[in-house]
Amino acid sequence: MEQLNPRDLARRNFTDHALFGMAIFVFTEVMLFAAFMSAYLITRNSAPPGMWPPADQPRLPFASTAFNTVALLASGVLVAQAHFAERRKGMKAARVPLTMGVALGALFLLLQGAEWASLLRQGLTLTSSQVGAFFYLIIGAHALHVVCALALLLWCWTGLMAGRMPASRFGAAQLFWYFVVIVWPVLWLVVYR
Amino acid sequence: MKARPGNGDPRQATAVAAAVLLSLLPQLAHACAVCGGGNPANRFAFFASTISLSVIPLGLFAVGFLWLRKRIFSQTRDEFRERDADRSGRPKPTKDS
Repeated sequence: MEQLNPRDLARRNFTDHALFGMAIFVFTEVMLFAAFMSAYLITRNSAPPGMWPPADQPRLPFASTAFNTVALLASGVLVAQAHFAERRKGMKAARVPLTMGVALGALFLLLQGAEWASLLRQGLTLTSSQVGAFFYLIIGAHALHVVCALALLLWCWTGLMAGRMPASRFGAAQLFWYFVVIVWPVLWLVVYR
Repeated sequence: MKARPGNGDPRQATAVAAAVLLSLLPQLAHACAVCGGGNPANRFAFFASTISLSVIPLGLFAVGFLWLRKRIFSQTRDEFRERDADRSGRPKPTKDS
């Protein structure tokens, strides 16, 4: 019986390299945010009752950030739509949903920036309290990820508009974007509330 | 030559006796303000964090392994079907078949 050569089997590309590399990166990022959450929850629960956040510190705008959350979640849905449209109908069909997805991602970033400016004006800084330190560390880390993921999506978008977007590039960018979108509601519910 | 407890060194014998007595009176040591604090909410947060930080990497490894396994199986299955079709002289199966 003919045998498959194990060496050939090992050299075969069973998955897209860009996607696999991004998956490993996202793996490490999941652990990073899990560690942030762990440190935050332990510190928050070690505060005496009624002392978190401290009385002289502003409250985080949980309700108004809900709009940002909806924008980011909608962006994730639109990017997924772009993916399916590209697979079923070709690149042209993916243009509108991807453009809208990128625009909503940028809107989320702008609204977050405005919120940060408002909180800074109210006195919540990196050194004003543990609340401020954790807020800017965790939400800032997420914002940095949003910027990077948005840059990747924009790269895909320019390729899409030019009619030459490699599927591997889009796949990796999507995975990063989905991570950014999925981790946000968790951060919002834990940190803002 | 160093004295052994059996040889009647009073300091070592006292240390052993103290260790035995302490072991008979266990108390919860609140040595760490974070993990062993008296606050139940804090203890729960520490416990939940420990569980989640242990389970998340294992879960991600499992998902990655299963995903790769599925892809390898699906690709090699097609290959065997193509090879068997070549041998029998039948037309090669398409991906849909």
